[in-house]
Amino acid sequence: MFSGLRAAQNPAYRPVRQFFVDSARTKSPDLFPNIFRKTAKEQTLFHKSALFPRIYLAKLQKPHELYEQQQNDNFACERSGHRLACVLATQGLTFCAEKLIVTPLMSGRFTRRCLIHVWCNFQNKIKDAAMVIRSMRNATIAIFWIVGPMVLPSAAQQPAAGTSAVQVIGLAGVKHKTKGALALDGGDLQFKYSKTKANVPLRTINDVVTDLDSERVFRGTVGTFTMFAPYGSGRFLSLFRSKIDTLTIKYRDESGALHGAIFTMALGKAEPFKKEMLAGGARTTIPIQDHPANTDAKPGAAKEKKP
Amino acid sequence: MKRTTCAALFIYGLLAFGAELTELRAQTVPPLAKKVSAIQVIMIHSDEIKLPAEFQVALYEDLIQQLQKQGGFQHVYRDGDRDAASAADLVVLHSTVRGFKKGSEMERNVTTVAGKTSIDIHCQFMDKDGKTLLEHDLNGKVAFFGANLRATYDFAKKAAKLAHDNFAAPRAS
Repeated sequence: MFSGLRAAQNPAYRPVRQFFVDSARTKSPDLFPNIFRKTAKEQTLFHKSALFPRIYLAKLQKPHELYEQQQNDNFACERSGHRLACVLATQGLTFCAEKLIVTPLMSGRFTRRCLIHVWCNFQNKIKDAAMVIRSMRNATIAIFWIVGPMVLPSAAQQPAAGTSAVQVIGLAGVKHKTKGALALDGGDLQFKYSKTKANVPLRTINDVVTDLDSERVFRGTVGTFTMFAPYGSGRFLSLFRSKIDTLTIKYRDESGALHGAIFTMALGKAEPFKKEMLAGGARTTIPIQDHPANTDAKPGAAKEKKP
Repeated sequence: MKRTTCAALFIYGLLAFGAELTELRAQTVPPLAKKVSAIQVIMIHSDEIKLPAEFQVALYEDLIQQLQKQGGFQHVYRDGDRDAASAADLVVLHSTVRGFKKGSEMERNVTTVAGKTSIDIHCQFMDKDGKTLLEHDLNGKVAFFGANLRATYDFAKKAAKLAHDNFAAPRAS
């Protein structure tokens, strides 16, 4: 709509302030560049509107520099009898960035139905909405960046193969709460973590038990810090919990010594894994069909089977 | 009125203190002079109390790890370990769950006062012949921070200290 928009299309130039100047209040619009004489580039920032000939679109590249020159500019403009331009420049500096500004002085000269006024307001509203959306998008990205790895551990830390699991305690040589992948390799239960493997032969497993549990979404170091968050917000964050499955095994080593290990994994992963283990030769004291977790975890699934 | 309240509080305090003393006296068994070089941990039994499998395993594993960490024993044998039969002086630790209350981590975090997880375990130290050397009731709990399984760690620390204080051989300096 405005010829001045051509300047904005130049990728090397990105205006941070822009406003309109009514040339009807000034005798010589060519004096405007004198107000912004700080840089030569800014002299090209005044463009006549094709639609509204008396309106000039002003785009200021370095408003802070202009602000410093404000007093001198005022003096120069008063002498030239172009106070309006100075007022507009000052208000343009005071208002927020990247907005089309119709100053009170100017808006008083337009009727309410004036198209330029409506257009400027419309532009401002669009820019306001865009700014809000941009802020919300940035905030959402930041939240996902922080929370994402905790909420979606399987997506954030997808192992090469097998079921993503956390070894809580029990496996020999593996630290507590080690993240890794649980898989069946031949006749062994294999826990892979950071290029290392821990194997337990399935035939030595005496008992496999699954259960349901839950854990905080915000855990670990972040979770600890949230406990000290002000105004009880740490307590509020404690309400966010994710359900998990636990898989407990008991097995004996070569000398007959009894070991136990506990794994946690995503909800719904433990039962299928237990089935695979039992098919591979492991034993259990709680058959799958009698397991309470089955009925508790998926009541909807049980209902679906009914005609 | 105020005097009556103070007197009632004082009497209540005396009674509570007396009960605590009685309990302590009943619990405390004179430490035996017998020092051993090896200890065997039997899997935790929970015949009367229904204990989730993960708690049972966590109690057992934590106990073994804490005994190894405390030191004082040359060998810490697991349940069923055939090598334990060859140990000259061995004490066997049997643990039976007497009480279990599974709390809620969320309740603990939100309310601070509710949701405590607590496990009461009767520990029995026996020699190879099955003669009881020491009996003690221990408690593992998690009251404020941590997951429910942290109660097993609390118990394991206490049990390991008890075993160390009563049976561990002093380190050669």
